Amino acid sequence: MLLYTARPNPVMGSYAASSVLLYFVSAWIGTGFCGAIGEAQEHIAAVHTGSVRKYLIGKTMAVFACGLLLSLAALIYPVAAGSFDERVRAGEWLTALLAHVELAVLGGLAALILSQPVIRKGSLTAAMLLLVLILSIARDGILKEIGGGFAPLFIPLPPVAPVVDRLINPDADLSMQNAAVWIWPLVYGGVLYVLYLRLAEKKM
Amino acid sequence: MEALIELRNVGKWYAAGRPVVQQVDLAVYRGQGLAIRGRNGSGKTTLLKLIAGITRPSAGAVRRAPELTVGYAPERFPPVRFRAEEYLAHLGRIRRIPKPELERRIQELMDLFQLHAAGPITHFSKGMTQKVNLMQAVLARPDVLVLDEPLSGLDAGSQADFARLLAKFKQEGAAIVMTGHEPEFADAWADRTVVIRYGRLEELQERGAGAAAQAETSDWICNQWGVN
Repeated sequence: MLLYTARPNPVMGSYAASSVLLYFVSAWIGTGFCGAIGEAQEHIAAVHTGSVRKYLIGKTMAVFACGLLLSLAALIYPVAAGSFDERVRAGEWLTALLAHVELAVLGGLAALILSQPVIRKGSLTAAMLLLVLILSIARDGILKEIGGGFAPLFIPLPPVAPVVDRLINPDADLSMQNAAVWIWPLVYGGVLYVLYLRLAEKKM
Repeated sequence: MEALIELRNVGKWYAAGRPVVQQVDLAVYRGQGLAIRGRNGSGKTTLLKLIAGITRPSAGAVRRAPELTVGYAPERFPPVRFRAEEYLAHLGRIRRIPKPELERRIQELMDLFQLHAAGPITHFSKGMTQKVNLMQAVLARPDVLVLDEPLSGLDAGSQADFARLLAKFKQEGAAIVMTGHEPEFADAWADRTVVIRYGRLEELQERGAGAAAQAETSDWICNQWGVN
């Protein structure tokens, strides 16, 4: 709502800003889910659920559901409030939806994998998560300053910068590179999810 | 007799530390009471978590009977902002216990443990919180009941109620695995006592097996704790 206090606003630029905000908010929600449930309560919940894996899947689905609801709210609110300078086209809406969902999932997953019980030292988790979120968003700007040769160092980070960049600079062509911008976060998210389940199960 | 849970050469260690549990062979049978004794830090809680399926073994294998249900009460019950009935109802929904049956069961447990306090669990005394901990463990009438020092914080009356519940569970065929610092209580209800030292099972005391031993145990518990 704060984003839309001034109006009218550009459609895709506004959605780029709200998707970045959602990335951080989802990470905060993920952290909250992990912090709110103590270790003993997790054990009780895992036993009642039937298995640790079922419990972990349930927990991540709850984080993703929050992200999905917030994505829809972020997309619908400015339209309902008449905050845009033009009508939102279906293609723009779908692109923005995909970007919001991808960033929400990646933010939530980053928080889950950088939280207890995966990382035991609680004091490190918040700082590491914040660093990962900032570096992944500011990747392009940092590479411009330090040189493209450092690009491989950023590969392990969530691939959110290209998604945000595509919202700010929408490209109409459907080249392979354009498709990869949207597909790679899904693949990355899938791999991260499996990794999280394995690590969290092992650490329980 | 087929084991409900069987640990074969099981080991557990975290990161690069020393093994918390190592080379453990243990079986839990229907209707059996298994007491696990040992000093603080000997690996009792980790062994319980392996039996309850909360943690995976780093080595060896844990085999479970199909469709096995487990109840687990940790040593320290986490404070939750629910009322006791709400908390139990929430866990019952996770277990998919039908609503009428769940309501009956919660009422039955509230009466059995004489817990009729209003307000959230965070406002409860240690003993009352421990009662909720035990209630959630037995809520779904599990095949195996895994209890980590369950008498901690319970007064004599509540311990007697709990003894009655344990006896009832054993008679119904449930297996009970329990750690504790009350040797007279553990010796009373346990058919087997296992001693764990530095992660290894070193001693095994058998009280007997079968229905006669179970009945004897139940009688002893009832006499000892003044339960009819």
